[in-house]
Amino acid sequence: MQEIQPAGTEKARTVSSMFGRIASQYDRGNRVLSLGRDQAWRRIAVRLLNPAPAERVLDIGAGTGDLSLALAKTAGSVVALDFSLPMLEIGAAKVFGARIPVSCVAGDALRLPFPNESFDAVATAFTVRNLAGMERGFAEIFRVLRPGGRLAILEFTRPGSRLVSAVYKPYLSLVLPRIGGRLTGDGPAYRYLAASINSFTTPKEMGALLTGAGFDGVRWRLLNWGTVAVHLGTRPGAPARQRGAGIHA
Amino acid sequence: MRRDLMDILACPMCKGPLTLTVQREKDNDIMEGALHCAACKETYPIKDGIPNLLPPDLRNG
Repeated sequence: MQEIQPAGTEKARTVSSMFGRIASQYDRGNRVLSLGRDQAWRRIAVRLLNPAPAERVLDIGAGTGDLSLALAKTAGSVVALDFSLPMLEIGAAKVFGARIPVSCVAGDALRLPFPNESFDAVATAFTVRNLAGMERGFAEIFRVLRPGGRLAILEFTRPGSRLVSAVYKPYLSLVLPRIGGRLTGDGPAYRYLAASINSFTTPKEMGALLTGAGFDGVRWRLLNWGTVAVHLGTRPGAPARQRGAGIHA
Repeated sequence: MRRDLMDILACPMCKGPLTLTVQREKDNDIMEGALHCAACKETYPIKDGIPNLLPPDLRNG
């Protein structure tokens, strides 16, 4: 297991180089492996986060920019952060010409390059599973959100239903690495993805981590027969100063 | 990167302010340059319009 589930900075480096390798084929892999559903999940996450026209939103683990593009349909501005430059370079080309400015920044989710309270909302899709320390990641998100700011996390989750698990587990361990490997030429990367999904938290465990990090009103919505979840939470407190519309007091 | 991004960029290590040096600008976008943190004595590059604020231990990872 050491090779596919490394720890700490080593994990960060391994995951980063893995995404660097599969970057050019990543979008196609997503579409095929989610049976064309991943973009719909992103739209649902954005709808639940509900960014207002004056709001500044941070997309953590923006990768090739799909979630940032969905956020850009309603937000005031979007910052797309990722620690893989090859992924971000593809993202930068895709978000060019979006309705509102999407700024690409290379950075680490565990050491965000932003001052305290600099965002109205944070969104992240298929990222927190890969963090070397999820608690540290949530603490950083909490720090950069303004009081009253919202968080939406779209991520795979371990299904509660035994019936779903009976179909899903073989899909993850056998089908996904094979198809992913064929699409991108990198079987090990997709074996890592499958293992990381298989060992990940249940929706309730993730909810408890968010509450533990200080978020209020933590709730979630299950998608795709309970294999994908959108978790929502709010940094407690009223905004210190209203920026723009600021209707989320 | 756009100049107004400076409003919300900070050093990933100390979260302190950064000083911008522009080497090449195109249509109000900073294409090449550097961001410097005086407190950490660390310089973060801007390449192809993307500021690289990865902590030093991940920059080449």
